[in-house]
Amino acid sequence: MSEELTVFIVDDDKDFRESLSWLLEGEGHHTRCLESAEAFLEAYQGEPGCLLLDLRMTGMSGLALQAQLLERRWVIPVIMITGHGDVDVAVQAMKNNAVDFIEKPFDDGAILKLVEKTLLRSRDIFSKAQEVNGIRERWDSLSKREVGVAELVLKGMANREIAEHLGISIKTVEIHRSRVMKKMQVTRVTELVKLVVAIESDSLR
Amino acid sequence: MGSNKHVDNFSGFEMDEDRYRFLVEHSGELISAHRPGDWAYTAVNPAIKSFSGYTPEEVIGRSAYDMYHPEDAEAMQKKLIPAIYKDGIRTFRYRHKHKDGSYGWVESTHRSIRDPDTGELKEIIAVSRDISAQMAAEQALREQQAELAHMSRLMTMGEMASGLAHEINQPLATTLNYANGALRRLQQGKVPDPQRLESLLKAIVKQSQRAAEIVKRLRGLVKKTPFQRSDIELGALCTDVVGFFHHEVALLSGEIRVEKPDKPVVITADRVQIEQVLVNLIRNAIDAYSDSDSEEKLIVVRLQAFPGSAMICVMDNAGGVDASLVESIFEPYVTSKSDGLGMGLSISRSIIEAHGGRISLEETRDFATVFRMVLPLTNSLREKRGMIP
Repeated sequence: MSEELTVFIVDDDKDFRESLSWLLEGEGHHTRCLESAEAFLEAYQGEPGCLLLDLRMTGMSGLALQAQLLERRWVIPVIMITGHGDVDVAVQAMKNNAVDFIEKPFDDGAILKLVEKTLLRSRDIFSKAQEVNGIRERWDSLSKREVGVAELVLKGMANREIAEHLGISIKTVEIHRSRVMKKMQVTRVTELVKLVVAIESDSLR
Repeated sequence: MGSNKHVDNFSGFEMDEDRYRFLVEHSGELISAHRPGDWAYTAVNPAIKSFSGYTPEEVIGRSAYDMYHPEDAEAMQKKLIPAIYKDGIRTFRYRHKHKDGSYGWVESTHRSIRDPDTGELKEIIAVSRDISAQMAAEQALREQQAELAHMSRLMTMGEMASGLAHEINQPLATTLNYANGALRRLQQGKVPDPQRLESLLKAIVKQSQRAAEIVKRLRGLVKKTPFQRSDIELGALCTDVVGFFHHEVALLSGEIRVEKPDKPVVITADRVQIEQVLVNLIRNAIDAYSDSDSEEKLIVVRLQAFPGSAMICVMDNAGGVDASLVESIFEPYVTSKSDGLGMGLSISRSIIEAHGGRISLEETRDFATVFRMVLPLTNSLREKRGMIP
């Protein structure tokens, strides 16, 4: 399972990155090291896995990278690596959705357990994100008029009301409505509601 | 000059030889005459007894060098003698031996008596005072200052604790990862590639040395040491001290740079105290930048050598010192920091002044804040110090 998941290590200390990579690879994890938050943003393509992120780095900080991840809707779970006395910042990191944080220098057992646990969670997160992305793609493929019709359908309006509201014929509403259902790959309005709720709750995250 | 009358050459005032004898015999100051060369006592007043426990009879004919502390005797021979020959009158401080083997501090004014016709050195007249109490007071002051400096160092280290812990934890974390990674492979029956193993063992050694080096330097700063002077090279000192701050400056996305001459700059000073001043000044610059939105956060530590003195400037561009503080910034309890005690600069100044130097705050075309310290070089420092000629 860990073959297909990547553990990204972002730290500005080359020796530290490589040592951590050595430890994780010994346990069969696939790792990728990057020397800065900026380098990660450049290299990351949304691969599933987890991110071991140094809180204090030259250039963009760990917290700033976390904020970027949220903004870009990247769901990769983050484990913050903190130094001595970084409690305040670690708390901030947790608020920004970090799954956990670990203080340097750490016990090998502790970091390996944390990575295992996070990768396990990562599976769910990525499959769910993939699902939502699929729905979003489908939604985005709707034409402007189709979106207009769909929104009114979601409000619970009947075809006749929609036709009146938009000033078009019932026949046209029926055509748009069936296209929406086809593109969204659903047969019933309740299913359509579920999909849209999934997109909206993901956007609120 | 009559046999029992003495005419004062300068005032014409006549004085009885008995009165002269009375004066010399009852003087609390030690008055002695020496012959050139071995500086043997040719005459000495009874005050010698209270100085050294010796009677005049016991020292007449003995070389004055026997009475000096061996270290001072050596220095006197090197510097004092040529000076006496040259200038005529000079004042020196040295340690004078007591009959019981102890030493007391003495300040002597030496005057050379020459043949008016040939200029040949005939005799040296010395008037000496016991300054042990004064020297003890000065020593106590230095100890007090060293104590204060030590306390201030501990406080500074406390403020720096988080950054320093990072500097040490980083290599420790790396070492642990490498070692644990190798151990786990061995326990799983996997034998790591010897070449890979060699390179990671090398990394372990490098990282352990890195941690040890930081601890060693830290211990030097935190250790309570008496005030002690030695010859120190300021270029290496600047580089060492700046080494404490690389990570912290990098976190600010700043830069710290040492500019120094190619040649070594050696002064006689208390290493730990000079390091402390530098730590204080760099710390201040970093703190100033953390509170500012300066785009380019540059700190320059510039060492320059001049004839007789060395100058170190710590320069930053974090907006300068508030005008209301410029006058009093070196006074105790004056600070521009919200959480500062205002002791750093006051202690820095007392350290620099104890070394015979000066510290000042300036502004230049390129830098908003320039702390400039000027320290005398080895030789001039010794003379200023006045302890050993």
